[in-house]
Amino acid sequence: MISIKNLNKYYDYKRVNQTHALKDVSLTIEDGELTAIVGNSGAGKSTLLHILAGIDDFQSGTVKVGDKELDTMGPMALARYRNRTIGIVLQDFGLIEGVSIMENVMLPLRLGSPMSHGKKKERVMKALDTVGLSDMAKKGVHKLSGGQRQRVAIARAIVNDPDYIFADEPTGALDSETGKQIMGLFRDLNKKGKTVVIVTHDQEIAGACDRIVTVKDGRIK
Amino acid sequence: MLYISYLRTFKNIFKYLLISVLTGTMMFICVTLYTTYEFQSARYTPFKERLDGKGHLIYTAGNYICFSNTPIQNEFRRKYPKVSSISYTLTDSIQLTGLNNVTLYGYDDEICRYRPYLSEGRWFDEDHKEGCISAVVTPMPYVGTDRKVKAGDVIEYEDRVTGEEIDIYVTGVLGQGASYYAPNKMTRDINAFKMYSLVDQMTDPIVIMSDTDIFRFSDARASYQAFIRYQDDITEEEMEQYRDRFLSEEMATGVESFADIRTRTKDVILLKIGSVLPLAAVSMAFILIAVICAAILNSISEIRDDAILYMSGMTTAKITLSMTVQSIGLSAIGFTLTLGLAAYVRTKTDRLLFELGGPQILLCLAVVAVFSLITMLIKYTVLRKNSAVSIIRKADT
Repeated sequence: MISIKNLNKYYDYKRVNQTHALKDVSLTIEDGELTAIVGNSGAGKSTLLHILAGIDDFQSGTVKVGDKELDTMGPMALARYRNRTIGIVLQDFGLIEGVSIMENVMLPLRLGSPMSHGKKKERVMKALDTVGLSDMAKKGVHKLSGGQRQRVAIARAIVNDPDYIFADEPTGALDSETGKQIMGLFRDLNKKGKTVVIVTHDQEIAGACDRIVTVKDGRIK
Repeated sequence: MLYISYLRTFKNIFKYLLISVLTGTMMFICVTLYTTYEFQSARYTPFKERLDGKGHLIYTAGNYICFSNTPIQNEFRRKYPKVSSISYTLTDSIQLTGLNNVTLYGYDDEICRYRPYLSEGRWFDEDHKEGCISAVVTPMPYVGTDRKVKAGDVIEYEDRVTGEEIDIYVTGVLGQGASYYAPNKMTRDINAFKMYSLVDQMTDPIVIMSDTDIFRFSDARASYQAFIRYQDDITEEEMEQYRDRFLSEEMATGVESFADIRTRTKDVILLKIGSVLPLAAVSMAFILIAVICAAILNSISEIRDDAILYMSGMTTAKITLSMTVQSIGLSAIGFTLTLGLAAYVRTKTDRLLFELGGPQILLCLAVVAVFSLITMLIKYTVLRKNSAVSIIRKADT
């Protein structure tokens, strides 16, 4: 379960240009849910997702993802959390250019897993199979289309078999048809038991989710 | 972590080669500048102690006084009771088999602190042959042949007084333009640098050996230059009196005080520093700018990948550490390139001032440290002040 209580996030904290991005946000997401977070530009939805993903900090409140309390974790524990507990998918894919699909997907395993290289390869192939790219493992990512790149990003997010997948505008850079295919992938992952949280401003994508949470001016509506 | 450094480097091999070339160039300039400084100041080293304190350098030209003659030295000390020590170099003029007349110099350990540039071979105390005296020579031909004396040759000599046969083993040949201490030189307004002569086409044949070996030549005698050191309690007036008496009693044809020589030597050093200072300052500025540019290029260009690594489960500290490992690796390649460049330049000219001593290695390490530190600081600051997502977005747009 994801549990957020009285979360406050400021940008440029304690400076003259301080911005209160999230105001006393409280939210609960049950395990196995497919949730969309929607809202206008600058509403704070991406900020909320980045906090859940452990890549942004906050000033007050509590954030609990599964049994991990993010507000009490140090840098090492947070790094382990990002590596093992969750998977992140970004609008811009966030792939390392100049290396193969295999290397990109294997990255989280390289950073945190003690398993043998053969086992890691096996896990990568399984993840690539899930996203339908197992026959392209050795291809460089620069040769892929936008949809294929997002599939690689999803494969990387699931390679460590995390319980939670956080996606920030995952279809924002794709055409609607490809967007639907990617959304289908998230739905499949959700069916396999993953808790998926997607930030989107696309109503069609949001409509395909089990639950819609709206963020407006830093508050949950 | 090593894998990440490896991945980064081989993904952008040309960029990193450029960074390595930059750091290598910085090290090359640092080493060359320091070696030049060392080379310039090295000729003063043998005389630093000799010219320390109160004393006179006197020119005994014409052999009015020969300090290697013990009774003469004793008489001199008796006449000038404030004299505490007398330093001189033994010299001789002889005819070696197959050669024109040559001048011998017997250098002591102090003089040997400066080692002139040799076009071939080694200094006389670094190579020995059984039954022979080791010596280095200026370039000279064998009489009546086109052959020149070279390292490894053995030249024979029969002492005209004792009849003893002495074999001289040539360990090295001084190169064109090399400076060697010429103890018979007499120059007005002398300083430590003027005590040297340059090897050129017109140089008289010189054979340089140790001060212990030259004793085997029965005619060896004190050189024209003698360093007279006085007791600490000698007054300025007494020193002036001694100077006047040396000249009036025809003990010497010229007298220079140690203090004057030291002052002139320092003036020359300041002049030399002044002449290379603009070049050194420009070089240093270039080095600093190049180090900063290389560090910025190294840290910023990979910042997008760092953000991805952070998202995938690496801490900022580990990313910074992997960057440091990479910076050290790149600097090591740069250092190797420096050595390669030096070796290449040496095949084109044998006068490259590039020596890797302790201070030069420290300078190279300083370049590595500055480069790694700036890289680390930039990386750490950017990662701390920006979220991983914003870094990726900014990099992609």
